[in-house]
Amino acid sequence: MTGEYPRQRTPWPRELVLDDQPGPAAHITRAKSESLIAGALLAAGFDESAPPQLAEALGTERHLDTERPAPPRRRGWLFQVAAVGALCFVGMGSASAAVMLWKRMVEPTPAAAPIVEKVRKPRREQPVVVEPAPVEAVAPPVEVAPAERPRASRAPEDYLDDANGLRAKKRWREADKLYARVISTAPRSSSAYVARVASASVRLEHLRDPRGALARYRAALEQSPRGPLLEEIRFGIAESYRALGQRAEERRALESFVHDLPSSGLAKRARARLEELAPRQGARVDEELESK
Amino acid sequence: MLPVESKRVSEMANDPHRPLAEAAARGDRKAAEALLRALLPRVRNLVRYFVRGDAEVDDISQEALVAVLRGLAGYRGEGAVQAWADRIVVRSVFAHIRRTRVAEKRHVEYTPDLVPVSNDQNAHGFLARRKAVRALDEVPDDQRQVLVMHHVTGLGVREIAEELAIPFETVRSRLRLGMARLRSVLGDDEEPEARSS
Repeated sequence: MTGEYPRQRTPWPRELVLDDQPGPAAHITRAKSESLIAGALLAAGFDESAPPQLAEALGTERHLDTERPAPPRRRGWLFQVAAVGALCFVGMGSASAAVMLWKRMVEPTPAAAPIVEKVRKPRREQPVVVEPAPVEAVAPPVEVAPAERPRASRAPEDYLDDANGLRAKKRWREADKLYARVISTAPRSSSAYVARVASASVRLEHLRDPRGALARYRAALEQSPRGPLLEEIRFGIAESYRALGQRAEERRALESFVHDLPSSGLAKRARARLEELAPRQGARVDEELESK
Repeated sequence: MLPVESKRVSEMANDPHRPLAEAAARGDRKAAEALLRALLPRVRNLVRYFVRGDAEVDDISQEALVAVLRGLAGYRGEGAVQAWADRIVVRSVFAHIRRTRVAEKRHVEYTPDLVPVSNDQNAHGFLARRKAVRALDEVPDDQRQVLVMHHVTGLGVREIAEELAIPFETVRSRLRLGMARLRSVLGDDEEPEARSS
């Protein structure tokens, strides 16, 4: 490594390191991870189901012993497999038809049914290469729908993943239910901590339930008073008070937010909101009396 | 043998990925699979450092894994497999960026990052990294790339200049600007230059 750049003057954030520990890439489910690896192996010519001769014949030869790697031929592989399958099928079908015709000519039979059976036989023996199984392996990894996943061995983070998926699809109520499931499954886990904040956010922003949101935010704060989502929680509490119309509480929450977390990305918004609240000095006394 | 060289030889001998890489290069599917499984978390993390948001991380990671497998024939055992794979991942990311350069740049909204946490023990570290990388998302692409290459993958300024085919001074300037922007996003507005004066 060269030292031309004065690194000591600008220390790199210690969180931004490269290793194989979780983060900064998002969580990936085991199924998705396996699918991703299987796709890469297949694209690079490491397909277990295709024998080397077949792979070579189809143009997916293992190029690892060569200096120049072959270009990716993912889709070509499929088309060629399908083409070979189709040719085999047509060939076998033609052969069967010829045999059948010859039998009719040599020893005509009155019963049509056996002939039909003989024609059908090659169909049942269609080459397996026509089966679409490789398509799934080659295709880019697709998130499996929550309903299709096996339920028994699922961890709280898998439910959290699904809930976030539902939230992304704007299915707020279902997402909130799944967040609740994460919380009840492992209430003291970090997944539950994240689920509490996520649920609060959904309740506040989409379900018009600021009271429920406030309860969730408070529970998250109680679970981990100095947790990594502290800023979101404390700002969320202020926002919940705002939605509830409790201005005095909102102002107090914002003031303590700005005081305790001045460098937060949300501090600017908090200050701006405090300024909005400031001119209402006349109403301030009333609010405070109201809050008491 | 020089001390540095002997240390390097020792590191290579202890490299747990080396036997897998060698077997995979001979066409051993199980070894290739095990190698990818071992590299995947790091590859995904590195890709995420280079690209904004999570949407493209897995697609690019898969492309990078394919490139790693295809490059095994060219791996001469000089240095750790992980470091060698990092370089391939960086190139795969740049190839992807070049292909999608015309794509519209998206503004990253500040919203709570409510991603699943996979391991309670590492949860806080994970979320701290997520928060930090979101600050990196606010740094312009060209500055971000050199920052990641320099500080995350450990490449020197000269190596980055060669890799990106840009002048040495441009790399230095992007590093400075990028760092200033990152610090500003992270809440430390003091410019490096101001501090040194």
